[in-house]
Amino acid sequence: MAITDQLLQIANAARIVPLGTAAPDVGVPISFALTPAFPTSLDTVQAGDLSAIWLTKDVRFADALGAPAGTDLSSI
Amino acid sequence: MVDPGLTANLQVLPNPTKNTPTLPIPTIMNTVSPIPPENDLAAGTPGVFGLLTGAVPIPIQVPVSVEVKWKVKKNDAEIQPGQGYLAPKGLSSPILELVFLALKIEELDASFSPAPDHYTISATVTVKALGLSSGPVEVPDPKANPPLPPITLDIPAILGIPTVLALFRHSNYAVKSGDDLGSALLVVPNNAALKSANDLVPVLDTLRETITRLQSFKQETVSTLDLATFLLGLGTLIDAVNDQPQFQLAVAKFEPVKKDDVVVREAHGIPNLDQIIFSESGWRVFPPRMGGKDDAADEASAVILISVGGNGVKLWGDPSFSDQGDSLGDHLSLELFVGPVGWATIQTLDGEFKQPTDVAVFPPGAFVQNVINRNPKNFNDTISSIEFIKPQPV
Repeated sequence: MAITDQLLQIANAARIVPLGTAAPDVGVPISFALTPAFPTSLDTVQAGDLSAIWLTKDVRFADALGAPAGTDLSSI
Repeated sequence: MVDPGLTANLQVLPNPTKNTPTLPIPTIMNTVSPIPPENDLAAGTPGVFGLLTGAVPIPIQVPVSVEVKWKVKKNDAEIQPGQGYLAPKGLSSPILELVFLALKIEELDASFSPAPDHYTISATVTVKALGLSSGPVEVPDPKANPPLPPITLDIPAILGIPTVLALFRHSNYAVKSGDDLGSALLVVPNNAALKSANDLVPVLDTLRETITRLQSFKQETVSTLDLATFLLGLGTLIDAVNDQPQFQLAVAKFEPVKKDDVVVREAHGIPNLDQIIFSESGWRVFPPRMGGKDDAADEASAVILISVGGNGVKLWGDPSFSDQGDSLGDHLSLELFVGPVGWATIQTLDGEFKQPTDVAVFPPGAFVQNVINRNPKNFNDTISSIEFIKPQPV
């Protein structure tokens, strides 16, 4: 879902609810809030740039045999 | 092995032509040490130099911000704070706090039935993240199907102030003087909505609480009344009557006033206070304890009047609303008006008043007029009849 659609979904879900139980009257503070509570962050997927460079060399092995036993491969 | 001659110091950078977030791409550095000799077996060997660019989806968590704008409508017209209500936290905070005001006051009589003001609460919400936003969205959505009920409030915006006259037995509303217990006689008009202490006491208490709240929020919440001054008067009345050990409440009647046995007018009051016997209990005791002996005539030493519209009361020295007769009677009277401040008091009637300036009246704005004292006497302990009066048109 596109992020703008997610944001719109959050906004559309908002409802007004009274807080407290005070009966509305002159001089009596009454409060309202929006519910559900709004999220502070959002999980989404963003396109990230990829840039890769590589080099290959055309090499081949001399034969198909494995290295002799006891060969120090790191020295080859 | 990568040819060190080719890759040494080679840097790969993000694509600068795109604005989308980029992955940090590390610099490719030669890490082979020592650097292989030029006669490395792979040196000079053909190969491929590859380059790949593109975009990949990356899950991320982004912060969300919300902008809220509350709307308050009165009878379908949007109104701002100060126009019937206050919003102490503003109209842009996540929580809306409202304090509705009383823009008018009226006398709380039997005809008092103010139509409430109809308020509607709504909001617009805009949600933002990553520089993108949605909205503003109306809450509740007026196009929702099925339609969402609006948030509505009905507020009685007119404050009802009952008219109450209190006559105290002792100056300064004292509860005792020597061996004499104090008393309070409350008199309400004939058309009063509250005609018993049982009805009047809770209304006065609630009114005091309401005005205390209004006064704490804003002085000008009731544009036609100085709330602080009125609150002082209401508190003075309630506290003074609270302490009195004897109490009675009387309802004024419309009584004919005769002169030479001819009815000349009709008075709205109590023609003879000696018909009123105090109960031997305070006004908060219900039912009141009956069987007292003291009547209310020739007892008043202090007065408090609560009312609106500049109303007043006339105190008569003689019964039947009279200040005339032979040389033996209390042929005196005075008129006390609340003026624009909603209350008036004479803390002591102890004085041989001959003119208004002889009478100490409080608060400023309240006043006395038409003082008559034919056989000059002290007003203290002389009042025998009382009459509610309206201010004369100028």
